[in-house]
Order: sequence, then structure tokens, then C-alpha cells
Amino acid sequence: MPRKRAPQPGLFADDRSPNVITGMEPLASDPNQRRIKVNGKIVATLRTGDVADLGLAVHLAWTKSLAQRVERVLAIDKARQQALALLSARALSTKTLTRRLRDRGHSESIVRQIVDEVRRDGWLNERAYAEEIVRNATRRKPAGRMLLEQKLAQRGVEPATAGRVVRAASDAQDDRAAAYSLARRRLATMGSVAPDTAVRRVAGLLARRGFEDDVVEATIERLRTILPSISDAHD
Amino acid sequence: MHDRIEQLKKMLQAEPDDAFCMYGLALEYAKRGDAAEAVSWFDRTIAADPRQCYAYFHKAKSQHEAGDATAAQGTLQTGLRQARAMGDLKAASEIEAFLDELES
Repeated sequence: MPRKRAPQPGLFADDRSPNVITGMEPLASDPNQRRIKVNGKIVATLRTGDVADLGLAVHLAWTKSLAQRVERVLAIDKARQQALALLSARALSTKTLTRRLRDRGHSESIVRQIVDEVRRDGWLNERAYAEEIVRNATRRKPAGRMLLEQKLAQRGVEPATAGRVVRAASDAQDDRAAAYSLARRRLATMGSVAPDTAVRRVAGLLARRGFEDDVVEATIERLRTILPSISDAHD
Repeated sequence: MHDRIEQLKKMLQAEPDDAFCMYGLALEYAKRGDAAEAVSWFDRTIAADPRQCYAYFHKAKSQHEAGDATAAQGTLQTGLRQARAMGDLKAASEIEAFLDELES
């Protein structure tokens, strides 16, 4: 990424001659970037699109107001680069990306602008992100609604999106069958333990995996019927 | 015990594919000494969930108690392969011990 140079604040304070843009050469390393010179000094490197948007041209007066607009464009560009780097490394929720950009010192308006921009460009997809978290959380062991909601909240997914994704996951999964399957897997690793102990351990596991009370109770009731027959034979 | 069988059958009516419930039912019949019914339910258990390694062990026990040692050995050999394939070392060791006992 080309290095950006912020406008030099001293440019206006000490220099009594009129400040004008004297050069806008493309970079050899990236023709889409222009090096902006004022009175022969480099003040900024901007994307060609930004140069056009700002209406920069050689001989244009370099005013304080123009310098401030350039400064904002540079700040936006920096925030954009940071947002894309963050999103390339790992999918993030809107809330987390917003916090990370704020932590890097970007103003509220720039953070909002960049978050909107990366969302519009498809870099930030809250629902896909939430679905990925749910997939990961249930890949090895089934999980109930409460655990999924908790995981999504921890990762900063907006409550509305989290609710929709968890509802979809719950609709796709038969919670009772999932809880029962998890219970049986746990029982298989328990060895010879009294039915009451086994039931207590399974109940704890199901609660930790976020299954709702009625699902846990139904599973436990089922196990209470079957386990005595099995544990008698396994003693 | 008869109540338990009824309870388990009732549960199975609601969830006909519940191999764990079938396994419980098979064990209840085995406890009652009804080897034929037990073996039949162990077979259904294995068909519904071949990973239920102890079903092979207890099926072999029922077959052995019914006087069919050859069938019991065959069941144990299949169970041993299954337990090893699943990495269930505890079940494999118990099945192997029973097999040794029958073969000695």
C-alpha cells in the first residue's frame, strides 16, 4: 500500500507566497495513485478517483478548506484500508468492525461511512457472519438456542440478525433429537455410573450447551426410563 | 420389569428409530431370560445403530445362554470389528475377553 502523506500544517502558517498545486504525477508503482505537490512540496498521495472528486488540478489554489477536504479523504482512505485488512483477516460483525475502527482513532462520521461502504460492497455481511458462527458452534456438538444466542452476542452480532439466524438454525434442527443424541454420546463416555449420576451429568451438559428447559426435561425423562434397564446390565 | 418393557415399548412407539430405547428393551428381555426376544431386539438395535457396540456383547451373551456358542462367537467377532473401527477400546476389550472365554 503506498504511503500517504498528510497535508503539512505549516504550509499556510509560514509561507506568504500563494499556495498552488504544482504537480499531480502518477506513482510509478501504482498509476492509480497521484502524488500531489504544492509549491513543489509533496502534500499528499491520493487515488485518481479522489483527485477527480476533489476537483484537483495543477495551478489550482491550495486553500485551507481544500487542504481540510484532502485531509478527510486521506483519513477515509486510511480507515477503508484498515477495515478491509480487518475483514480480510477474519469475518466481523458490524458492531465489532465499528469498535475496531473507533479504537484506531477514526471519527464517528468516517467510521459510519466506511462501515456502510464495506457493507454495500459485500465485505461485511452480518447474516452470513452469524450463520458461520452458528455452523462452527454446532459442528462437533449440537447446541441449543440459548448457547447460540450467547455466542452471537459475544461476537457482537446485532440482536435482530442473531434472532433470525438462531430461529432458522432451530427450525432446521430438531432440538429434542439433537439433545437426545448429545446425551447418548455423553453416556457412551461415562462408563459405569449410577443412573442418577448419569442423568445429573447429562442434564448439566445439555444446560451448558444451551438447550431450553423443556428440551432438557424431555431428554432426562426419556433417559430415566431407559437407563435403569441399561445400567442393570452394565453393572 | 414387565412395566419397564411396556414403558419402553410405549416410548418406542413414539420414536420408532430410537436405538437406545431398543437396546434397553433387549436388555430387559435378556434379564427376563427371554433370549429369543432379546436377540431379536439386539438385532433391531444394531440395524438402527451399528455403533452400539455393547449390543453385540449382550446379544452374544443371550445367544450363549440359549446354548448357541457358535452364533455368540460370530456376533462377538462382528462386534469386535465394529468396536475397533469406532475406536471404542473399552467395548473392544470386553468383547475380546468374552470371545476368549468362549473359545477356550
